[in-house]
Amino acid sequence: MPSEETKERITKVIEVGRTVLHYGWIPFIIYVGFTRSNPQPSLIKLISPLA
Amino acid sequence: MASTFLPEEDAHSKSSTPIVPSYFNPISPFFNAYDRFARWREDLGLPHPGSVENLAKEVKGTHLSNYIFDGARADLTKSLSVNPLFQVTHSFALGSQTLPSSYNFGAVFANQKVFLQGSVDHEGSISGRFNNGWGANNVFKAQAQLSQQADQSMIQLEHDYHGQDFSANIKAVNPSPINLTGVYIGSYLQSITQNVALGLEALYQRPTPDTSDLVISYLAKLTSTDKNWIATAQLQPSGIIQATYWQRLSEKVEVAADIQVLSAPTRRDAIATLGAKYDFRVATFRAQVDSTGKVSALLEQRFVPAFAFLVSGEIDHFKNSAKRPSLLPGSPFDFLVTITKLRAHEALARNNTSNSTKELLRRAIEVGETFEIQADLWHRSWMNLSGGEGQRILLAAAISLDTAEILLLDEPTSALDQETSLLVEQAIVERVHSAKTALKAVIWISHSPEQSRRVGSRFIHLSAGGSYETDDPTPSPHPATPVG
Repeated sequence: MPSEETKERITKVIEVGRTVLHYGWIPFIIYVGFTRSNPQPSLIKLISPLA
Repeated sequence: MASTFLPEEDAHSKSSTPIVPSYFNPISPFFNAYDRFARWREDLGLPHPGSVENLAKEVKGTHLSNYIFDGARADLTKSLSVNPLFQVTHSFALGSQTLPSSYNFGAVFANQKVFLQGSVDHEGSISGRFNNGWGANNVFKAQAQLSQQADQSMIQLEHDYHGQDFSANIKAVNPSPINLTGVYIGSYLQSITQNVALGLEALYQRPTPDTSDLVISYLAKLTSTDKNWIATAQLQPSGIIQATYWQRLSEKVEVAADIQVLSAPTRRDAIATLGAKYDFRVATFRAQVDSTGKVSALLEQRFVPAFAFLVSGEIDHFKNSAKRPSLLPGSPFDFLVTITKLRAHEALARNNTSNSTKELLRRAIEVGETFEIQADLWHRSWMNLSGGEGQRILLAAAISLDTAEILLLDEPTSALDQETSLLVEQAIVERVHSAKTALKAVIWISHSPEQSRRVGSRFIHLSAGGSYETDDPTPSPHPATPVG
């Protein structure tokens, strides 16, 4: 059984990881998609529903 | 594993009959036995049985339960790249009876090895998926739902292994590395003959460090040699049996049947669903009827590849849904969860920290139990609740929400017998008098003078002749003179 201190640290790490995932996941996919796409699309086409 | 050992073993036995010094010598009989077993198994040439998760995939694809919607929806999908696949989707949903209007932005990226998917709605909730193939047979999958409230987030980690004639999967839902709470699921499906596959699924639940629960269910799948029909069965020891049958009648027509039987000591129930799917050149039509009398249909017409037009409808023949709260979708549990998400509720509940969804549900079940409503009724569909059950559940929900200062109750005990009615009256009156609850007053409409006397402190008598305040709820033989 891990000590109280380790437990607290793990909880904190999970909380930070959750926040990073929450705000970073969609930008991460868009970044990966944007850089790996062939041919590379224009930015406006990416964001706007109408373009 | 087996195939990599095979050539080596062959080489040993042919070229060098004397024992070659090797670290594996002491355990080589085990390897030999394993190889012989693996070779024998390979010789059987059994087919891959498919995964446990997709046991009833064909049935789900034929039935329309997964596709039905109400209100209006628009999905705009833009493919920005084909290889690797990169798509963004804007979807709008409006005017649904069951769900609030929403906007959703999604992005998908996929190549041969990796699949990334994410979507965000207008409230800032994120859902994401990540699949990674470590090899041809090993796939790791992760799924997460993250919302602003920490207690509504969900994460699921999963690993799939596909052998030549079996598939295995382990899954963890919300695993906590600190105290190992969470839900863990392991499943295994093995082909026994060319047509039969058997498997089992173990579900281990550990909601708190002190409690845990293991449920094992058994699976069977029967596939015809030409793969034109598939029958599956799933048995849970608690008394739930689900059986499905799917058949392809022609290239364009598929039919599927599904029967679920629940026979627990406290409750017996069964529901059967029959559905058909027709594929036309630019359209798909699905129709379905089930044993509760629901008839539904869905038409999907594709005008151009990126634009589809869908029409769905459902009629419930047996239930007189206008009379009961069965206009509500889903179960009482869903209803409560929906309420907790309403802005009005959030604003009222803000100053009360004990109003997290979990706490609220616990409280609602507790209040329900004092009205003799068993906890499992909260998960039953409104359609399958009796009038009295529905009435008590709604009262329990209203009381346990504890945000209203005044409740307006119109004949709240009309479907209850004398004893339960007394229970309910007592609970409500207690809440009005209690200083701990938000409830300050109840406006109670009743036809029973006895009940009025039991619960009321001030009375207003309404009749065709007009309304007047009285001290005695007994209907007066001489009502006030009609006005106007």
